[in-house]
Amino acid sequence: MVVGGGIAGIQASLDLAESGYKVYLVERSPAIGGTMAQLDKTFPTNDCSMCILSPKLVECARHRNIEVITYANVQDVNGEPGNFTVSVKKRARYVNEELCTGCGVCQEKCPSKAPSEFEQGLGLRKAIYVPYAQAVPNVPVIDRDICIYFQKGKCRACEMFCKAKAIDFTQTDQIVEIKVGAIILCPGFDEFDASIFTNYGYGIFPNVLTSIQFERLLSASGPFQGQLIRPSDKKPPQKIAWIQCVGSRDTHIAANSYCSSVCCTYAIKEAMVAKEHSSIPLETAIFYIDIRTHGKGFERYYERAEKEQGVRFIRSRIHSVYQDSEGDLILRYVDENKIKEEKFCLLVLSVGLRPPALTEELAKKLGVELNQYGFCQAGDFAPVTTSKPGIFTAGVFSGPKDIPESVMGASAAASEAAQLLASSRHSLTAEKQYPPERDVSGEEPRIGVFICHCGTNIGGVVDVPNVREYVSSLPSVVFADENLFTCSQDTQQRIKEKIEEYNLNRVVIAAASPLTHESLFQETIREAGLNKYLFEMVNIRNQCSWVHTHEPDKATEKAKDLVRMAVAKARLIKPLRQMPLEINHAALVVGGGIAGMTSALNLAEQGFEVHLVERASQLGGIANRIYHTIEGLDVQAFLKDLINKVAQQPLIHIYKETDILEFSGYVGNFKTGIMVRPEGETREINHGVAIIASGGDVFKPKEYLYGQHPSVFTMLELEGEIAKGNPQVGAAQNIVMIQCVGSRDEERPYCSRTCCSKAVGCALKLKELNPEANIYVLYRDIRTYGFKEQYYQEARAKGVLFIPYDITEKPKVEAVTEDGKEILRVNVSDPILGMDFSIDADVLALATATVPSPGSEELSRLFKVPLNEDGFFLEAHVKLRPVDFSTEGVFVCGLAHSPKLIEESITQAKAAASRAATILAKDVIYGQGAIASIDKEACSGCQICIGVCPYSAIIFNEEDQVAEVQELLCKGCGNCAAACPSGACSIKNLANEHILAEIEALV
Amino acid sequence: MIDLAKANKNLWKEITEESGDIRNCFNCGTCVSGCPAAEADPPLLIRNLARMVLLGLEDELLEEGTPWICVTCSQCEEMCPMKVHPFEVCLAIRRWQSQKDETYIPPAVTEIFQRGHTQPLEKVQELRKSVGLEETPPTIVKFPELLKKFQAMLRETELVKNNDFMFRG
Repeated sequence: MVVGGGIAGIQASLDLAESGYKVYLVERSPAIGGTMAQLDKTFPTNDCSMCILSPKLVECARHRNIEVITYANVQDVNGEPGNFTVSVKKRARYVNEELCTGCGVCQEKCPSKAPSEFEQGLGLRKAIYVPYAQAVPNVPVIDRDICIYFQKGKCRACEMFCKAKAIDFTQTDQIVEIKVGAIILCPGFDEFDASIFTNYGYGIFPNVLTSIQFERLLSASGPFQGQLIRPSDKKPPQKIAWIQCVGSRDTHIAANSYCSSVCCTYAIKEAMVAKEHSSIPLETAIFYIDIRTHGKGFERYYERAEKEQGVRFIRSRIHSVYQDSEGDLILRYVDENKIKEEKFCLLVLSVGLRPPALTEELAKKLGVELNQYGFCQAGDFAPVTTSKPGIFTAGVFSGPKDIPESVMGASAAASEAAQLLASSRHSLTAEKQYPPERDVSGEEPRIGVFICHCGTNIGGVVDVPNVREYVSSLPSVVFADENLFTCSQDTQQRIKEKIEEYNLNRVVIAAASPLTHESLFQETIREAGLNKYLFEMVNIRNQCSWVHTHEPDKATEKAKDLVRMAVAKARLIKPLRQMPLEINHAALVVGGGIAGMTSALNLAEQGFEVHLVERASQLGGIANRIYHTIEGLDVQAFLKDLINKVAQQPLIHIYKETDILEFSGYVGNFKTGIMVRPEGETREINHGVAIIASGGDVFKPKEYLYGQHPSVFTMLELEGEIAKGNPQVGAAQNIVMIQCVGSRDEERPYCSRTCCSKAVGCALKLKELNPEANIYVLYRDIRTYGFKEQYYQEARAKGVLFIPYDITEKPKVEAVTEDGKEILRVNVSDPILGMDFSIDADVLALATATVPSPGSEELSRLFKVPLNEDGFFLEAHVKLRPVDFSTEGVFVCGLAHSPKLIEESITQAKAAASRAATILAKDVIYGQGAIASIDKEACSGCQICIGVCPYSAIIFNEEDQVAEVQELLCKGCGNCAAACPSGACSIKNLANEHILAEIEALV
Repeated sequence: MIDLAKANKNLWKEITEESGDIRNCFNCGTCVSGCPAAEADPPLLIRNLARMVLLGLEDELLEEGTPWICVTCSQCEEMCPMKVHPFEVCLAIRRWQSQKDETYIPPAVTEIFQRGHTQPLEKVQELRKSVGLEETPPTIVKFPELLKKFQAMLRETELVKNNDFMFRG
C-alpha cells in the first residue's frame, strides 16, 4: 500500500506495479497529483509541470495492478511485515465512481461556491467539484459543509442535471480492510503558514502571496488563466520581489530551524517564468540569506537567471513589509551596508515545507518514529526506511526535497518493498488484456482528429475551434474534436468512444510533445482495438503556440498546416507489429562503490543474479576515503558491513580489477565483454539490464599552494588525517577552510553539493578534538540544506567562524617567513565589514569539487549513453526519470550522475535497482514497431547502412549479398534510410511516400 | 590588514556575559533592515557590530560610536530569526565600551543630558510642522522645569560628577 498520491506515491506505485506487485494507492484528497499538480513549471528545465505529470496520473489510473483509492484516510494498521491489515476510511463522495463520466455538468449547475483549495484560495470552486481539470479520477466530490442540500435540505441541482445518475446523497463513509505486505508512506508536506509572519502582511495585504499561490497565478489553468496580474487591481505588475526562508532557518518566529532545500531554486524559476509570462517588462528581485542551488544543473540555472535574465539577487533578509495607498509593497533592506527602500507591485513569500498535518497521529498509530521537526525519522544509511519494519517512506515526509529526489526516494522505497516481498512477486497481478486488433486492411482511411487546448497553453494563442472546423473539411477526416486537455483521463475515454462511434481507423492528435504523450495516446487507441501505429501526433504547442506567442493568427495557420500534413500522412500509414523480446534476468552493475554495491545487493535480495564489475582492487570506491557523515555516522563501519553482505550474497558475482571492453545488445539481452586484469582473462557476460555506478573523483587544485605546502590539504584528506589521529591536525590552533575550490567557477560552473556539509562536519570534529581551536570557514554561500542546517548552527554555536568571500575577490594564500618562522598566511576580504583579514593558518583545508570519474567518457562511448556538459552522466529526464537513461535497460546512480552525499547515493542506487527490476521481473517485453526495413531487391550490398547504425542493428547477409535489419535491435532512428544510396532502406510508416505526402500537403 | 588569529576570541564572552546567543548569527541582515537608526550617518549596523564582537575585533569595536544611536525600539529583537538578541548586544557593547575605558564619554550621554534623548530635534520638528502638529514633541524638552529636575538627578551620578566640564545644562 502506498499512502499519498503525490509524485512520490505515484512513482512508487508504478515501479511496484510494473515489477509484479499489486498496489493500493491511498490518497486523502479527492484526486492524486499532489503538489506537483499545482505547479506551473518545474526547474531547471522549465517543463510544464502538469504536462509531465499528467501522463503519470493517467498511467496510474489505468494500470491493471494499481487500485487508486482517493478521498480516503488510513485509520489503523495491524500485523507485521509481509502481512499487514490496513483499515482505510473511504469518505463519502456522494458521487458514484462507477457511474460518473466526469462530464462536469454538476459543477456547472451547482449554485454554491467556496474558495478552491487547489487554487490556494485565489479562485473559487463549487460545492460539488473536482480539484483540477486533469484530476485523476475525474470524479467530483460533494463538500457537505457548503452543499445547500446538506445544509438546508433542498437544491439537488446536481442530481437533477446528472445524466449518468451518479449523484448519491445516501453514501456514507466506509471502512475497508486491506491486506498488504508492505507500506510506503508518502504523505507529502504542508507549506508553512505565512500568516504567522504578520510583519510580511500575508493575509492582510492582497498583493502578498505565497510561492504556491504564485504558481497558481502563473499557471494557464490557474485563477487568472496564466495572465500575470496581481490580485488587488488585476493589473500586470512591473516589479515583483521574493522573500526567501519564510518559515525556514528561523528558530524564533517560525520555530523551524531546518532549511527547506527547494525554495531558492523555485524562487529563481518563478522569477524567470514570470519574466517570460509578463506582458510588460518585468523587474524581479530575490531577497535571500544564502542561495542554495545545490542540485544538478541548478547553479547554471541561477547564473542564467542573474546574468541572462537580469533577476536581481540581494543578500538581505527583510524585516517588515509596508503597503502604500496604491497597494504597492515597500521593502526596506540593507545592501552594501546602506539602507534602501524599494517599491514592488507584488511580493511572493518563499514558504518552507512542513510535515503534513495529521501525520503525527498517523505515525503514532503506525508506530513510525518522527524526528525533532515532525518529519519521518529515516534509518542510518537507510534513507527510505522507517523505524517500523515493513513500512518505508518516500518524498518530503522524510525531509524537504525536490521532485527528482522524491522520485528517486519513491523508486528506492519501492525497491525495499519489492525486496521484502520478493517471494510473492506476481502472485496478485494480472496481465493487461487488450481487445483483439481490428483488421483495417482494405478499409478506406477514416481519420479522427483531436485538437487540444492544453488549458490555455495552446488555446490561448491558437484559435482551436477554427482549426477544428478547418480540419473537418480535410479528405478522409470523418471526425474532428477539440478538448481542454486531450491527455486527461476522461478524454481518453472520449477518444475510445469516438473511435467506435465513427468507426475510425486512423487517429491524429494535435497537442503537446509526442515525447511525453505519444505512448499514452497509442495505448488509448490500442484499447479501442486499433493497432497503436495507426496514429499520428502533431505538436501544436511547442511548434505553434509557444514559439509564436505574439502572432496568434500565424500560429493558427501553422497549426492548420501541420495538422493537414499529419492527416495526409495518416492516410498512408499501416498497422505495424512489435517483436517480442525475451528477458535475461541478470543485471550488470558497473562500479563497486557504495552506489554500485547497494544496487547489486538490492537486486540480488530481490532474487536477480548480478555481475558487479569494479576497476580497482578493492570495493568501496571513494567511500574508502570518507570516515564520518555530518551526522557523525561511522562510514567505514557501514562500508565494511556492506562489502561483507555483498561478498556473502550468492547471487552477486564480483569482478575486481576488471575493465569493460565492449557492450552490445539491447534491453533484456545485453552482452558485455570484460577483462579481469590480474588473470588477463576476458569474459562475456549476458545480462538484461545495466546500472552505471562508476562514481566520481576529487578535484586536485593547482591554487592555494596545494601540493606545494605540507599544511594544505583537500577536505577529504583533512578528514582522513583527523580519523588517523594526525597530531599536526589535532593540535592545530588556527584552521582555515576554503569552500568552492574548483566549483561554481568558470571551468566548473556547478555546485559540488557535499562540500559545505563536509566542511561543517570536519569543523565540528576538530572542535571536539580541540575546543579552543580557531576555525575559519571562508565561503560563498553555506549550503547545508535540509536538516543539515542544524549542524551549521551547531558549528556557529561552538565558535566556528564563517567569513563570506566574493568570487571576484578570492582568498589569497602565501607562504612567508617572518622572524625565521615559516608561516602559511591566508588573506581574505570580508564584504560585510569591508575589512581585510589575514590568518596565519596551521592547517588549510580546501573543499574541492567533486569531478566525474576519469573512466566516464569511455563508459559513455561503450554504453552509448550521454554525459552532460560537466562530464556527469545525463539521465533521460532530470525531473521524472532521474535514474533512467534514454537507452532502455541502462540506469545510472551515485556520483556518476552528479555530486551527492552518501545517503543520497544509497537512495539513488536503490532507485536504479527498482527501475531495473521493472524490466527484470518480466519474461517478455516488446520491441519497436516503426523500424527500418530493407528491400532485398533494391539493396546493392554497399553496407553503408551498417556503418551508420548506432545500434548495430544491421547485419550483412553474405549469401544473398544484402543488408538485413535485426528487428529487435532497431530503434527506428532512420540513419540507414537517410544514408542508403539505392533507396532500398526505409522506416516503416515514415518512408518516402509518407514524407512526400506531407510535403505535398504543405505546398 | 587585521590579523584575525591575534584577535580577542573571548570578546563575545566579555561583552555578552557569556550568553552564546550572539554566536547563532548568520549575517542575514534582518536586524539592520528593520532598524530606524540604520539610516543615520554613520549608520547603526547591528549585524556588523555583532560580527566584530564574534571575530574579536576589540580595537575597532572600541572606536564605534554607533551603538549609542540605538533608539531602543527593539525591532531587531522582534524579528531576528536566530534569537541573537541584537538589541541586547547593542546595549552590552555600550556597557563594555564604558567599562573598558573609564575616560570614555559617549557623545550620546551628553545629548541625553541636554534633551533627555539622543534623537536630534530638527528633523522631527520639520516633519511635525508639515503635518500640522506642534513643532516641539511632548518629550521632556517641552517641559523646561522637568528637564532641570532631570539634569539635577543626573548630576548625582558618578559619570556626570567626574566629568562635569562636559555637562553644562
